[in-house]
Amino acid sequence: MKSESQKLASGQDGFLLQNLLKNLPDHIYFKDRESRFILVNPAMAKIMGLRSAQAAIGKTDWDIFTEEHASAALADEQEILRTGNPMVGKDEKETWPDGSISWVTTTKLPLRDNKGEIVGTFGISRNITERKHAEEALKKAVEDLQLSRDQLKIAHQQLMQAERLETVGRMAAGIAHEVQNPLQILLMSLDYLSQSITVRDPVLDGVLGEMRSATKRADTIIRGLLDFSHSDDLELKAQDLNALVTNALALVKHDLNQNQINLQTELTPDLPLLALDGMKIEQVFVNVFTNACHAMPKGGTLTVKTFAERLAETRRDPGSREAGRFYAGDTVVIVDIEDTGSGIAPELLRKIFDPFFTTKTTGKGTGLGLAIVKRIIDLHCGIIEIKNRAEGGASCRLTFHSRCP
Amino acid sequence: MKKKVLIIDDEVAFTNVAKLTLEGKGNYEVCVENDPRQAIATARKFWPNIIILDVVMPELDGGEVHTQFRDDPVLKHIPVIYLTAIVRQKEVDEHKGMIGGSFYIAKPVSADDLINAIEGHARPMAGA
Repeated sequence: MKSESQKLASGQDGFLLQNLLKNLPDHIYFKDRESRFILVNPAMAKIMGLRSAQAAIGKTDWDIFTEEHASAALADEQEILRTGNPMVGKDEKETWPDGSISWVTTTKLPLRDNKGEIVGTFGISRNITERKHAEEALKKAVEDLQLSRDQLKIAHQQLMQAERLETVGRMAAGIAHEVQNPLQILLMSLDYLSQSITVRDPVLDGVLGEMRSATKRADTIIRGLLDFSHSDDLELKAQDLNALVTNALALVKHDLNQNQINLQTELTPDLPLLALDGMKIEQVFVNVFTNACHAMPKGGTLTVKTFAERLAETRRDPGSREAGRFYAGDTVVIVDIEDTGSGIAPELLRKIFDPFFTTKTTGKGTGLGLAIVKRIIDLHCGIIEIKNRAEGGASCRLTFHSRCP
Repeated sequence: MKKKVLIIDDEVAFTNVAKLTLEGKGNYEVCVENDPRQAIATARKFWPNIIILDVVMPELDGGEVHTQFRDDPVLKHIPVIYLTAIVRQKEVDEHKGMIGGSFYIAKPVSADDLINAIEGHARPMAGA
């Protein structure tokens, strides 16, 4: 009685089948209902580590692969035997006893006898390990490209913001001159009217007062614009950061008291002296403290901490305009300013450094404060980060290099 | 005796109201000149105790006018204060009102501050 493999290999069909099996580089196999190999082609025998195809007969996947792979293959074959449905083009991971991994794409079909009864399975597997590696490499490349694109987008946004700031700066001087002349006329005219009106009229006094306030407000905005355009002039000297913080806190004492804000400070003593323009950094602190006070109109807590630390890793992503400011190992001095106010709407956070952007009501802020603050910090090669605190309120972190002139 | 103030500024609306305001105080006689090219001739006719000089003007800027005054053997003794929008108040405060050897007031200035500057710098002159 012929074996199953002999039956398959005999006759004209057998000749053609033998040629096919012998020459195809794919792994071809026939199994019985117990998933024992009844015929394999030379390519299959080779990866099984066998000297001949004949040696495969009677073996199972457990003799070749790890249990993980053999179990999966058995499950597939049992399903085919049960349902008669083929499994077409399934990508399979082959794990070998030596730990190596390969990938194949496999098609398995029910093996039917002349009566159509399912007597086993047969399959063909094509090695796609290289293709898989290429796919993974492509996927990684796409992810890297996505990351680069995101970084480029950030860099582009930063560049646009910097250009906007530059444009505002350039325009500021011209605009200031053109606007301050008419403001001069208004102010002097108001002075003349005030001194000329001999009859005291409260309504008239009120109107003149409103005009004067409006004129002064316009003047404040123009001065802010000019300050912004001139914030490039730095006078660097060795400065004690804690002293600047303390001075600035003294300047906002009125706001703190008025809003009944509790002040907590943790100023680490003996911080390294920093190369800073003292007046401008004080201006930065005053601005940030004032914003914090305005965020707590009905009280709260303002916390100010200063400390030095050695960076464990470089602080900025490549491609950022702030890349390269702080590297791992650098000693930096940090000021953390936290409030317990209302925080900043998340969708507005990316705009807070834009000139003229403000969340305050008309007349309460020009929107130049944080733009100037950022400009000053950038000129000092520092970093300013503002974000919302998980427990409510906002935090502002200023980071400076510990180098001294 | 009223102090004589010459205001040289191309902005007619400003010089009109400045004249009204200063003369309204009763202590000043004000002459205005809106064409900087006429500044020397006007000063020679008016003989002010002090000159308030704008900087940015068409045809001739305040610096050039000031140079002409300095080159004049008599007019050079008249104190000049620049009243201009091209300096920031912060700069003026930081330098105590003197920048590059000249006195400055930043526009916009109130009447009181302008009067303080005039009183601080005007010199009495023997009549001419």
